[in-house]
Amino acid sequence: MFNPKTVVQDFPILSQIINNKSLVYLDNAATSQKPKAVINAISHYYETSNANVHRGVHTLSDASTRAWEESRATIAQFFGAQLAELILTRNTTEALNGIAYGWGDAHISEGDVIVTSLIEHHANIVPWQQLAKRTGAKVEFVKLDEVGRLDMAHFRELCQQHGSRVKLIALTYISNALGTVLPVPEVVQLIKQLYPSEATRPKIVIDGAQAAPHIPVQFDDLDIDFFAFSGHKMLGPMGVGGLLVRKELLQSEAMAPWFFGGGMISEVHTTGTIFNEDISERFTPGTPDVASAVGLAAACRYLQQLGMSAVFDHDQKLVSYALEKLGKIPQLKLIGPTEAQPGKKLDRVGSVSFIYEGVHAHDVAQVLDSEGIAVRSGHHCTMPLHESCGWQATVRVSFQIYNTTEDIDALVTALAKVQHVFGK
Amino acid sequence: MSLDLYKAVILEELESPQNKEVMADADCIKHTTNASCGDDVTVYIKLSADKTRIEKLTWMGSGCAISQATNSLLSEEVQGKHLSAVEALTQQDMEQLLGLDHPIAPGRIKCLLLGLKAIQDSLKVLDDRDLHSSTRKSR
Repeated sequence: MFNPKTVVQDFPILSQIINNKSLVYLDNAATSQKPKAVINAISHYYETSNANVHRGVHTLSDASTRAWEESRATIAQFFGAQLAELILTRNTTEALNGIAYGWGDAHISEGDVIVTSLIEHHANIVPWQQLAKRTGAKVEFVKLDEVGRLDMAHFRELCQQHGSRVKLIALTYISNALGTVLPVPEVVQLIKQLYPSEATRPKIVIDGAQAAPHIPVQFDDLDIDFFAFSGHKMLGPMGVGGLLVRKELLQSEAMAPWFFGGGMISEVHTTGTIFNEDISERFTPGTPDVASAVGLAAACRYLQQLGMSAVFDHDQKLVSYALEKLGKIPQLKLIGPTEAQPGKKLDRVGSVSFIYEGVHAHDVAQVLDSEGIAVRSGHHCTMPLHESCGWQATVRVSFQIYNTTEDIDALVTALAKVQHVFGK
Repeated sequence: MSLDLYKAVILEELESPQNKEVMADADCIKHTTNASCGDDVTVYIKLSADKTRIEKLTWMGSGCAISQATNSLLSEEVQGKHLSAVEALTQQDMEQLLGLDHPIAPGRIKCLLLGLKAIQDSLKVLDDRDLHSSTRKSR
């Protein structure tokens, strides 16, 4: 197990003073901070290896191409995927849109059904709504139970109701608003049971934006079709993320490129174009963001050094501690799972969210900021969730490897100031 | 940002908001939401007989301290005002209304402008209906 107090020294930004207080950064579900290893890797790339990839024969172009390819290999390996399964994108949103355009447009048609849930981030709703609009398909939302867990009975009902018309299941692994862990293996099992024939089985998309930073992910063991992630939430730079696609899907060409241009072709003629056979090139037209890929690979190595199991254990310690401490504040109404289901582990990772009775989430966040504590307030890009639960806005506290139980103590102390300011 | 955002005047408005009521005989009703945080406001506007001034404005809604206090102060500010003067109100005017001596943080601009946007949008609707355009433009 690593010591977060040692880890924090690797993150230059965290030594800042905000409003005369030491910064306590608890907005990690929005974006994580970056260790020196990542910042240095990006600088080092620009200082030593910058050139365009693939197209040059000169030494720098070779160095850059090598950096790009090695980074892709590191990232694929981090997620337990094969190199030929990884498409680098800008972020999770672009990856999910890529599924909609690259697979959805050719495989979804009028009357088909896309199943998602009420807990999803807008990035895992809007692309499907747009796909449905283009094709005449329908989007169905799985309901949640009273604490914000996926209603598996309703999920089964929806699949049974629509049968083979269900072509795509798009769920998050971990809720960005509540931290709820969705039972992905259970979902996969149910789908296999309901659709025994692979030919008619819907494809499964997992939004891994919040899972990637906190839990060990082995894509090839998950038995899903697509997994989308963002680099910036897992200590990497902004502007790079990825889409993992089951190899057979990519090789069968069921997944087509959705961006076009240079780099992704093998031949261009005035009469038409033949796409590049190499997967990494076919889906990456234009000059790629090599430096960000190098930075993300450095983030993967950094996390691997700590060990993703240890990263997960650390998060669980913080989640439990926060639930215990915040649960004692009478003004707070904790939302999302606070207790494990019988015989199971607590299904909450990364975030603890609450409503401060009588004070708007933005005002709570503003008062906390005056104490140097950064949290998120609002609907966290989950309007259907907030609407279905009748919440106007919520406060979210989210963790990373550099957070400590002392950070949560500082949060609890600062929350007393909310009462002082608003008298509630 | 320090906490001068929550001056006594804001907390007072929050405690006893002015003109916060439904108006049954409004000439125009406009509902606006702040997509970033779910705040919402509905403004009710009654125009003067010659349609050039706001005779009475009331509002309803819920949201953060900034949006609620601004709605309250703004509802008082615009009573009896010429429509073109209301249309000309800016973010800076709202900041002054709250007694801020510096621009509000980017994250709170939408909270600050929610009520003003609702009012200005409803005046546009009135404009489209051509209820008052001839008199106003000759001001």
